[in-house]
Amino acid sequence: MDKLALLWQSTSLAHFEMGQIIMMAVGCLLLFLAIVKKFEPLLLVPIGFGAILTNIPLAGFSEPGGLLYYIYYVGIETGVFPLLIFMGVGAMTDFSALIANPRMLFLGAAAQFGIFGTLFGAIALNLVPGFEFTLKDASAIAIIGGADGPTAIFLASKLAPELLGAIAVAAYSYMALVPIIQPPIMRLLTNEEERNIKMAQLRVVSKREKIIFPLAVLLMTILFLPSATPLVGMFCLGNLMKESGVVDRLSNTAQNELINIVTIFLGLAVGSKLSADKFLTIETLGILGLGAIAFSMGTAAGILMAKVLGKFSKEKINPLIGAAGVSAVPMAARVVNKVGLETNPHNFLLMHAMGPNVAGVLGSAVAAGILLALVG
Amino acid sequence: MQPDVMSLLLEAGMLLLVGMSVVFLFLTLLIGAVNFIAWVCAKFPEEELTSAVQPSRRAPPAANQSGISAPVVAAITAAVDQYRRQH
Repeated sequence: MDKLALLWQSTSLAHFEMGQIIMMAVGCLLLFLAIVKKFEPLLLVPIGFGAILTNIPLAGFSEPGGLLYYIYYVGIETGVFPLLIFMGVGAMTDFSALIANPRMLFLGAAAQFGIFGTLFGAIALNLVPGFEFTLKDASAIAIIGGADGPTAIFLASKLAPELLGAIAVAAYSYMALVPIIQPPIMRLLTNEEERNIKMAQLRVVSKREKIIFPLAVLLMTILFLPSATPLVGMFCLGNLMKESGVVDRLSNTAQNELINIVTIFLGLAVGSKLSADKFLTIETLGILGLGAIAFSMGTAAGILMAKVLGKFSKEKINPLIGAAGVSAVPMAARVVNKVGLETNPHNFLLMHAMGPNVAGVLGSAVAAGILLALVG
Repeated sequence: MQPDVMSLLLEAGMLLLVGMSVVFLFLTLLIGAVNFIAWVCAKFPEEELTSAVQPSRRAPPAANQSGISAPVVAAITAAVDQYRRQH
């Protein structure tokens, strides 16, 4: 009888807590969204699985000595994983649409209003009983509006590690939901005539310009915003490897093998933060709500800026492309293209939207640098 | 509690102002830099390399980041060209 009791005690069944079961269900939900609904499957599969693993009683995945503990410690606490991903993203990004039409940077800047507006909103939420966000927490939550996974994880790991799980899940979920969140806002803020605007074809950008561009971005970051250099520096390294054309092997590794390997570990490490005591809180609900607001505000600010820019510009600008200012490359640009095609089946906005789209990546990295410098 | 929140709100408002101004300032400077690079590159054009490298280099990156395969891009380009000629 003694042995039987001992055996019983060594099973998970005897040790399950309600919170762990709920969090495993959340993990399964993420797996469902990834596998059946195809929402950001590359990230949600490892995140969802990590959430299941970390909540297994007795296994101790996330305690010192456990696998996920070390993965988190090595990759996220140090900030290494998001930066490696950023290098891969840099190696995948083509800036020619932006170099051909540099004013698109204004749209990428305007869309960052989503970040700073949400920062204000997160602090305002403190007026509701049950919420107690510090300025650091609020900054980490607000970066969801940058619509950029690695940036959000990087900033959250520096400013509010205890909220990282919820922030990462919110950021990636909303990025997957871009095709659902953005179009209604785009239709609301533009009329048929504006959506119909055709834009002039972009000029051809020389190879030399593309090589100098990442170096120029890096130089300016070094001079004016050193706190953003980890993000921008890795991004520019990846981009230079691609554009220089002399290290194709490295560039290919950065944008394929390396980013894939890091994605697996990043996802698992984020999943390991989905434990009941950290995730099943009223704050998580607040973060999910604020994330949606951040995305919507960024989209709206981008579109309005595109309208203003169009008023002062000789060449016509279709305000829809402003919505792509919220990074989320390349999903946001594709959504712009799709909404444009709905109005006029001959109006392809994809290349025009890529400009503000990559400008948004730079913009959110800059915004992250500002938050790190001012709040961190 | 309440006065505490008010001071935090004030700080968040300041961050909103400062943050947006710095983002705009930085990216405006970047616009200047890009225009300068374009001007310099136009002033000192590349030798024969430009024409040889351009067509082959443009297609693969486009396919890479938008996730649309090269043949599809080619088809779209051709269609757009045809449309432009007709109108």
